[in-house]
Amino acid sequence: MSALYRRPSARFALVVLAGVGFLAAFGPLIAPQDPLAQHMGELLRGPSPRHWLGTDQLGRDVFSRLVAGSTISVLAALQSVLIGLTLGVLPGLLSVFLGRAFEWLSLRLIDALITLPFLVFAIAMTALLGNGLVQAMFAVGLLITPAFYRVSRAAALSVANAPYVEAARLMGATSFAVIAWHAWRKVLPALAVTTAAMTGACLAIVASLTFLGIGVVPPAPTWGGELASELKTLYDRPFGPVAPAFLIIATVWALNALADAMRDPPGVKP
Amino acid sequence: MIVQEGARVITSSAIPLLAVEDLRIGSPAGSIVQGVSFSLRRGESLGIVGESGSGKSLTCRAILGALPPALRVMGGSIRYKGAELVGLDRRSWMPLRSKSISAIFQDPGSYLNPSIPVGRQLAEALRVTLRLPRTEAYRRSLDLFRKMGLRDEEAIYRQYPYQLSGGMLQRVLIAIAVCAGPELLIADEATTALDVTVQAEVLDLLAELRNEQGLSLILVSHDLAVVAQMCSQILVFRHGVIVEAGPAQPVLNDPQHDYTRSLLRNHAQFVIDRVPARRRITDHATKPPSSPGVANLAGPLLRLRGVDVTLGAGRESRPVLQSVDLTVGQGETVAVIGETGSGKTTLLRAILGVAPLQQGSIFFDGAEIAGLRGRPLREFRRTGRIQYVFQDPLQSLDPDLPVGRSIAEGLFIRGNTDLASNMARVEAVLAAVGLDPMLRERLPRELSGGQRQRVVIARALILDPALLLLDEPVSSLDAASRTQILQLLSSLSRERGIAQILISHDLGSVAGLADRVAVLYRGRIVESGATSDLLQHPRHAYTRLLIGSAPTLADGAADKLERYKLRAALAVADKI
Repeated sequence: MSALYRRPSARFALVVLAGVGFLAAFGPLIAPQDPLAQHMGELLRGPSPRHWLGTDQLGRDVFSRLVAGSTISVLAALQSVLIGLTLGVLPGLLSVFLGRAFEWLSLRLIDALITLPFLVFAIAMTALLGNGLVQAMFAVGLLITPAFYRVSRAAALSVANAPYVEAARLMGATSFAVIAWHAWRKVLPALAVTTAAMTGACLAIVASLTFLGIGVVPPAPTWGGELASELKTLYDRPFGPVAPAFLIIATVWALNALADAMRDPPGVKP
Repeated sequence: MIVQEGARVITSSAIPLLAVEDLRIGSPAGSIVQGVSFSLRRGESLGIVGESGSGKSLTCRAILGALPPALRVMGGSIRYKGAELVGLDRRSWMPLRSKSISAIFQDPGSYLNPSIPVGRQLAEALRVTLRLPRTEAYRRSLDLFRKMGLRDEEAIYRQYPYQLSGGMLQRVLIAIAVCAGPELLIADEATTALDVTVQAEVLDLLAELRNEQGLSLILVSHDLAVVAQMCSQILVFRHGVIVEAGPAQPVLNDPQHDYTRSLLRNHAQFVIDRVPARRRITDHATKPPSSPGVANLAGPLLRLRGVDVTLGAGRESRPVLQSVDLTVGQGETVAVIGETGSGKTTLLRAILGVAPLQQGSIFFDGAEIAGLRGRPLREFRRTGRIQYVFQDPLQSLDPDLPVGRSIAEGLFIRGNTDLASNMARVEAVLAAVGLDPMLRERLPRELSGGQRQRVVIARALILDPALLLLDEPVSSLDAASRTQILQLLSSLSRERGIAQILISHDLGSVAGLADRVAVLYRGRIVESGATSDLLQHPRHAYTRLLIGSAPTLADGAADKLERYKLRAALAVADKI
């Protein structure tokens, strides 16, 4: 972690993420106005002391909607990453240590998952399970599982034939003991990188899905949803898409920068 | 100093071939080589000895103009035929390298491109340095290969590095190094990784080049006997300075500096000489009197009967061990000696239940263990009665775990999960192998090679084994740590009555420890017996070759002709 602080880009990324985390944690509480309240006399206004980023076509305060929408956007991304981690990591480790049958089966399943197109699959899932962000992000979590599976498997493979693992086996260690003592530690760094990168990707996917109106039931605010509605009223509010787009881009960039910093060994110039 | 080649010496004696004066190498943080001076005349060979990290390799690299990027020459001068080498730019170096100064290193394979046939790599060197046309370069390459003792040179020319053995690769590298006719060849631990018998042949080749082409040699080695055999002058390095220098025989026979004396002591203590009256360090009288008697009553600890092991499947399969019989008594130390590929490691792996037996049986403490699989095998391993010490201690320790955790791992696997009591045992066992118990918090990479080897032995000891299997326990260590580890092993057998099987390619390094020696040649045990008997009256041609190849301080390896006769006899025997 101390190596991370030495890189200016990583330091800045951490600051950005702290900000985003704060917004996500307290968004609905700190939004200056009710994100759902309509001000019928003030449709599609520009920025003003009362509405810092103006109002949308229904007279809702855009700034409040973005702040309040952070929670759903970030939580949804974290939810899919969590699902991906849960479904990917342990099978990835076990595919190396548990024997050929499990290895073959899990590899084929993962191959099958890789072939599914993201958005189409997510849309199909919401059609099947009902429209809701949880359902949509479950689909996304399932689709990013291969990344976690592959990364854990690759790290575990490099450990499986190491002499110190053989030493453990010669002392009578079971596969689970080998994972708990040795493999786990080797997987963590690679996993941290993948997690950061995938959180960024999921955030972008949440934005795309909500932009398409999938997963979120209309009045609820999200970053992607705001971006979509701003684009519809581009003629009236030409500066409108800048704020939501900036939030999405800044967060995704920060996560990618963090992932890069974790991936490169300390001392290597980017 | 040199009298044998009168005419040439007189012409060149005014200016030495190489003169190093007050050479200091380091980084701004501090210097590693601190004021080294020596000179070398044409046709002379200079031996440099010293422990690892003493600056001997750095000095050589400075002479080659190839220091690691973080280091540079801080002061002093290196003059080649009177011309200053320090501070030369890349362009001025180009004609010097290979045409004047050349080098070979410890691991020849890593200096060759794995995806280009070795002959083409030599031909390329010839074309670049001597600007020979393609056909001429090819012809000269074949010539050189033949001269380097590589028979069937046309086939060798087309082979890739992975198809050649370590000794052959070193010959290829020597061919590349001398192809442009350099006057100085630096051999930095060039024979260290080779089998003793192969080492003797490569050293022959270097001596031949020196005598026939007037090549000057700088030979860096941790093996005093190699230097004694090859070099007329000797430098002893320690902590970046030369502590002793002079003609080889006087320095080795009557060392003035304490450090040189300790090097010689370390060397003499465990290395066997072919002289019959050899001092044994494991004296039978000092062993617990009970052990031979118990052994007779309880039968042998380990017994292998007609063990056959075949590795690989289908057409790839080849027999690695053939009807091997081996018996190890309680508390007995047996050395298994053999060259690379003789099946030594496979023998240990068969005992450990990793390499499956084609045939035969292995009894441990009277019970058959060869057929164990799955849970019974795991249960047997958890008893910790047989422990294996890997060849490379760094590789066999988890780099992310403090060594204390690695040592305790076996206890946890066994089911002792009480952290406090485990750590107490770790500290006790660390003290038993002569390490500071506080080292348990360190990571493997923070320890020295000798300390790591002790850690690995501690990991085996904590499980209270009856039998230790040691795979080349000292081959990666320098002379001082080597002696200490061998002393440790001998005290384990003496004080705890732990039986040991040591395998090594170097008879000299372990025979001082062993009660019995078994010689493994191409998967068969060709000879075995009490250590002193076997050393004094070797019967099998391979054993004689092995003993004859090891250089000693008193004299070099046995007569070249004699060794070639033995090789020829073996080749004939192999065909039958």
